[in-house]
Amino acid sequence: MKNGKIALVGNPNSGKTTFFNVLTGSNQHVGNWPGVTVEKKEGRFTYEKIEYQVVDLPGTYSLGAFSEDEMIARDYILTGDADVIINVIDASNIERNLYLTTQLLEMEKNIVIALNMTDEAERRNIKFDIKELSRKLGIPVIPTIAYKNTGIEEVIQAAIDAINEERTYKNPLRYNEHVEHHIEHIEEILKDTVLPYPVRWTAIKIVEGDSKIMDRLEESGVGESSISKIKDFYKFHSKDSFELDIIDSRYAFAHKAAENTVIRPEKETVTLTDKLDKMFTNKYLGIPAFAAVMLIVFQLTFAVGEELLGGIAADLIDGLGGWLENLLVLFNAPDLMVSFVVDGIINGVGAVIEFVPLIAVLYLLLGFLEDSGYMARAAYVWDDLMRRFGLQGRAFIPMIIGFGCNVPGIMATRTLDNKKDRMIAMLIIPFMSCGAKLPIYSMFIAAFFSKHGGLILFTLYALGVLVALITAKLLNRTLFPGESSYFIMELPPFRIPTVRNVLRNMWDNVWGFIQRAGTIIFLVITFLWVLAVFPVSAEPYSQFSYLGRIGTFLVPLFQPAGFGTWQEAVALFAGIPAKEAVVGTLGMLYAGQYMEEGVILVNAIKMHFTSLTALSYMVMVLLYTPCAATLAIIAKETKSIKWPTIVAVITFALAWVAAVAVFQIGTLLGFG
Amino acid sequence: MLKDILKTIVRDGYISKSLLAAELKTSESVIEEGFNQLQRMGYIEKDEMVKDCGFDICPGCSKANNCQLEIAKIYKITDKGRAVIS
Repeated sequence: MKNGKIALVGNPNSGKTTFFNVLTGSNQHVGNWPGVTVEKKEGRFTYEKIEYQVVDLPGTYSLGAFSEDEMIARDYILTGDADVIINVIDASNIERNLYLTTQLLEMEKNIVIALNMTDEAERRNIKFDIKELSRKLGIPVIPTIAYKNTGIEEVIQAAIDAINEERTYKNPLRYNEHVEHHIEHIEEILKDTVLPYPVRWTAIKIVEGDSKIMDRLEESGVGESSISKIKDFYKFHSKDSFELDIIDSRYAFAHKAAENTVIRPEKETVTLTDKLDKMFTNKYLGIPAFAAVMLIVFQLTFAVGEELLGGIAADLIDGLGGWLENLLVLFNAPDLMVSFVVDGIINGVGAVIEFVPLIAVLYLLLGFLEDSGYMARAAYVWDDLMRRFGLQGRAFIPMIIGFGCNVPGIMATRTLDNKKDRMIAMLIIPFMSCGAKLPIYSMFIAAFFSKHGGLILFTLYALGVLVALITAKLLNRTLFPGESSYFIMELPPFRIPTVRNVLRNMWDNVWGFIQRAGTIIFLVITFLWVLAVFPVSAEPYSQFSYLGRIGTFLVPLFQPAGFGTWQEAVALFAGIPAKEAVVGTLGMLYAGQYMEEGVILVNAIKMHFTSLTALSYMVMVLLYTPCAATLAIIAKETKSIKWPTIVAVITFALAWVAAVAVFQIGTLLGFG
Repeated sequence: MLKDILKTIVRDGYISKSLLAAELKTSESVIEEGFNQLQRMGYIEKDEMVKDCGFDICPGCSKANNCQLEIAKIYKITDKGRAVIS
């Protein structure tokens, strides 16, 4: 009997470290492998009065050349002084673990398998034919439960037998004919060479294209002639790739070894996630499913956010306005101040704040969808759809972000490394109807389309998407032709959304909406209010005020689209600093105009619009010039004034044409 | 097997390890390991979506918390991977 050195090899989480600890107890020493920061664990144990050394190699899934751990394990097995390798395998995951075993077999060393964690396998009703498995692999296989010290002694005995009998193992794995031919060719080159490794293993590595093997051969003093022939081999086969063939053969061998020797219970391998994905990611059903989901979201948003809660918000703000007005009158506040507070702030900015419940419900539902994992499926469906319009890559993510706000959507195009995709995404994101436009749509829908709110909203968003896609196609063919990147998405499993995440998403968006109302919209409304009440010689809020004069000048431009009053024209331009300001502006102007009558905004809208002109106005809002912040970001990202100018002009022109078309065709057909 | 995984994920455009396991008649953990090997060997690479795009206005942006840059994990097929499937 002789003492010897044992190396432990195995996948991470196979119980290898527990095995090592049970073997060595406190007789361990921890250091580092030379030249690297990877931990080296060595120990010893005594069995039948003979001392054995144990080296615990780093846990690794394979023995390639892709990581430090793999290289350390591989080099030690090949060139170290281990007399036997104990391959610790997780019995409940045997097929995955056997890949490493096949690579160990290629090294033609003494190997014993410790089939560990058999208790866990038993819990999962996995059964083994140990004898048959051992026969197929050609090496001893011993079941163990390391943490209970079960089977350890049998493994030690098998390892010691292997040391004492000095067995050699022939690699039972054979590759396909094509690969075997090349392996034999390399073996022929190396046959008279003194090698530090087994010849066949070296030949396999060379054919596999292992990046480190040539360095090792040169370092170990292999002759120039052999090195040169091997380099010729690489040059001749530079376009071939045998790597995957070899790896697939190993997997096939592992699979065959596990076949009939590892018996698992019949189980449902297709999960609920996969069943749902069959519909949500289906080539033909995916988009209709997405459309249906979004339609439901919009319907619920209106039913709850506008009809149920919106009225409460409006009443609260009206109440606050009335109370403030009475308070100011009580304190004999100047008329101008009363006008500013009531018309400007309450009816202007307040008109925007009234839509907070709508925003809250929408983002609650969207947060629910995102946290459930559905939005990843939506992103996949988008990606597939966009490829057909010439926009590949990850451009769908900035576009989906653009639905919340165009500004971060455009900023997110920075993550697209393909310049073409980036430019196209940047230029079509303004067609994604952002959250700021929602109050505008909601205002008109409440006035004219309250029974079909969800459908109208859905149609508007869909129209924006359609225009974006067509634009992308045109840009792809004209300004930005070129190849796109090729991406694959990993879909997370469906999960039950957490309340925390959903509420956080809702709050972030609601707070952002309120912040914008309190800052930029407040500033815009204040500025417009000043223009609307001055000069003092003109009646406030009339067409003779400064604002009225500007609006009157713009009116002819919009008359073909059906909305030819100065208030409507001015409100559109007020939407350029911030889209919500359209609602605020109309709220302020109509409040001022109908101050005495106390007409609320929705009724004022009914007085100034028809259902047809409301539609054409919404189409105009959907497609026209994006907000100033969006234009500024486009300028920043493209480092030019040219592109934001083009976007501003083209989107306005396109929106105008679309609005005119809606109105004129609608009129011809007898609508409105 | 790795070739089959690569071809299937390119064909489908998305990755579902359980569906792959069912189609290739193996276990999910083998697919997981095969997938990891494809990454290690450079046939596919994870497209690291940056959480912080380096924008100095993010702290002031109301959308910063839910910028949704990680809707899904994205992988890119490398030139090496394309050479195999072409």
